[in-house]
Amino acid sequence: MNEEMMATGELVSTPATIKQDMRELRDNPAYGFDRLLDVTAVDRGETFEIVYRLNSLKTGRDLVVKVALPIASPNLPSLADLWESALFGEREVQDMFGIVFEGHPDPRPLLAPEDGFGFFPLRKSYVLPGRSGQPSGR
Amino acid sequence: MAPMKLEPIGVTPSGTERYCLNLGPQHPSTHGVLRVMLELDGETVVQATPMLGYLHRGIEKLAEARTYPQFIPYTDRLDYVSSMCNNLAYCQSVEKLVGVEVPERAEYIRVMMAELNRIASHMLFIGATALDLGGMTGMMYTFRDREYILDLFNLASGSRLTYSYVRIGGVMNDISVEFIDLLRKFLAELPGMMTEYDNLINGNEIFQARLKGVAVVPVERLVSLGVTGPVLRAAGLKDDLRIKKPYGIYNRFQFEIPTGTVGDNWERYMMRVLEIKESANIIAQALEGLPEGPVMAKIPKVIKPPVGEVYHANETPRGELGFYIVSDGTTKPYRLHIRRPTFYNLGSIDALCRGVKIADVAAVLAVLDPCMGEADA
Repeated sequence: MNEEMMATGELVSTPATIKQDMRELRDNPAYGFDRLLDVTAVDRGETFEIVYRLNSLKTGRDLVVKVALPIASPNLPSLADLWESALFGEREVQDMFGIVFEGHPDPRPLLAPEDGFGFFPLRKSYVLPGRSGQPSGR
Repeated sequence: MAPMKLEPIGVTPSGTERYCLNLGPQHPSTHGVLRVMLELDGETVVQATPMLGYLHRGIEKLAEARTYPQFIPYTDRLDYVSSMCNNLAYCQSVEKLVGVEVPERAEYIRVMMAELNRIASHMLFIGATALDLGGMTGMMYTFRDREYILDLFNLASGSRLTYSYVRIGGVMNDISVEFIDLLRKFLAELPGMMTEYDNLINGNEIFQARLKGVAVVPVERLVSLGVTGPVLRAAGLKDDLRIKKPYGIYNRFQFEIPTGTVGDNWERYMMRVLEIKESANIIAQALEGLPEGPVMAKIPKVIKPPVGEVYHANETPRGELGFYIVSDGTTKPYRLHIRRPTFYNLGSIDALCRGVKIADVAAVLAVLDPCMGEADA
């Protein structure tokens, strides 16, 4: 975390250090990112890219934090104890990508039915029904 | 997955038994298909758990199978009471990605349409809040006046609710002289309409008593919850993207951002009433400065953005609506994510409802102004 991060507005972190980095970004007054506006993910084929969007109300600055995650073991610590907005944002990513946020206080499906969709719709491996040549995606 | 608890759950210190009550998804006060599990101690809410997804259509996945212009009608169906604002946010995101310069006249028309839609959305909000609190008549007046705006949109785009009027590079077609005449007439009549709401709804003693001092939450908590829009501004923060990060030509207009002090339901409600007046102010300025010229930029027939990504956010009537588009250089987005304000605002239901009486839950939901099409995507 340095000047470069502030210049480009982007920070690349790792699953092992994300919690520590985010805590620093929130609590260090030099950064002061007091809200997490959005959590989402992108399926990059080999990896998942988790995209956090931070904003500071005090300075008006934005920061994008990205974490690459192997598809085989998509586990990541939850940030719900840092920002409450992660409670909803992480549950959506969990439903859509099957990413496990460890330590999330309420990991039930949010947009999916109570027992889940049975598949992860926003993964590239899930093909829309009607576009796969098969009658249904299930 | 634990089974839903429907039987009494434990005894409270006051000796009464706590129980669960299911609100929705088919309930008139939930403005769509929102379901909330309420845990109650007598009449007081102990916990409120929102359950979403009843209107989930997988819009983000559908976007990956549509070309960039083909996705515009889907944005209409996100927040279907402010479709113009959604069209605008999406088209500006794609324009940012491709690097398109929009003609001046189109920029002014876009601002007029977005602000008209904000007024229409807030009118619906005022009526729906009155209705939720038992004031059936209030709804009739705001819906009557909202129809005026929908007629204007119908004239411009040929559609009352799902416009797809804002296009990548400009707007669908130019506005007519008739449209401008009718818009001027509407702006002249708006103060009278607002006085009518003031007399009928806002000034009503019972209406005020039902909202004042209810569901006050510290502003730090709302910030942590990711709440945006009028709900956050009611708590005293001047957080509006039209001022903070002016998109389009918003930096050319003079307008105020109303903010509250206490952050109770009453101020959340009044934010919308005050915003209508400011939006009318912006429209009047845009009408004044409306230049002649084309309404559509020269853009290629096939839109193929370069490899890269963009995030662009607009201030819709409900808060920060952002489009995150990842492009792989083809005609379709590789990934499109929508940061929906209603989705994150609904996350605050538990914080807002705790400690309020069950009769006020309808009021809390009403002033959050949720639109489930947007929350569930």
